[in-house]
Amino acid sequence: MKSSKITGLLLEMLIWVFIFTIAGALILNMFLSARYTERMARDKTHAMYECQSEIEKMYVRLDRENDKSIDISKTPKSIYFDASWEVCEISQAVYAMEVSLFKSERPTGNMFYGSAVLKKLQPYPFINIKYSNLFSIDFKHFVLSKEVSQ
Amino acid sequence: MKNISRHSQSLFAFVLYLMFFTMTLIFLVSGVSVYRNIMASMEENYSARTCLSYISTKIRQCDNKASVSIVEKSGTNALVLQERAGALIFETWIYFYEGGIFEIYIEKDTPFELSDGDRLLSLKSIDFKKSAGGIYIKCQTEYGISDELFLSLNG
Repeated sequence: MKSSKITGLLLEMLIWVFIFTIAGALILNMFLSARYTERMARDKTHAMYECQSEIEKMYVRLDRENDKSIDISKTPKSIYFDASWEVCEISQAVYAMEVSLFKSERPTGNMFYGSAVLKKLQPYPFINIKYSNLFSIDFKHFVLSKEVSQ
Repeated sequence: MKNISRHSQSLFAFVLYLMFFTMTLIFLVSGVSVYRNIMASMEENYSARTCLSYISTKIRQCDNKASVSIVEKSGTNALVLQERAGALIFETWIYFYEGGIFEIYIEKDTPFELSDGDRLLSLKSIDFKKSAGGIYIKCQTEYGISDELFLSLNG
């Protein structure tokens, strides 16, 4: 009688440990997903700065080469970044930015438009998000032709 | 025989309690660590975003090559933004001083000390560098993560 009581108690404890293990695994999964969500938030901020800087550099280049000879055939241009956001080769890339540029000729100059998209090449683990786009932005920049500006 | 069985059952119960206690401790510690990391990252994100957004807005407000300059004062690079009000010229100086970003608004050529400015935000460092057609702003948060932004200047 006593033995069956002890066995019952042990069985109860085993069930509790089992339940606790399952709950623990779920909580651990949540912790990890929180960690990677926070990492994604950080990456999104950085991606925004990278895209903005690249577009601003493009504005400077477009303004400097203030004529109709700007070659847009070289776009979309891809820039690759490693895990610490340093520019690298495609083989070491963790993030990739694609900048596209199009030109529309106007009587007084050129309207340049395009987009910058920054993606993470591999999805974040433990986060159930299908897309990997970190940041994307469309831009438009009008460049007055040399003849008109003079 | 009965004694051995009772002993082994007690030992088993003790091991189970120990397991339960260890697992609780592990989850608690990892929870605290994750929470601390998230808070640190939020703080870091906030510092970097606020700093760069504030400075880029300030630069955009006087978006002109001639009115944006970088001046060295007491060993630190300061961003100087000029604006004209009638016959007078006023300057906004933004610079790094004693673990923070400071700002002071003065009439041009008014002498001042770095400590005279208002502290805006705590940072590890901030640096400004002018290049052809634009300006680089690099800030490093207290946690050591750095962000860089390039802004083109018109005019």
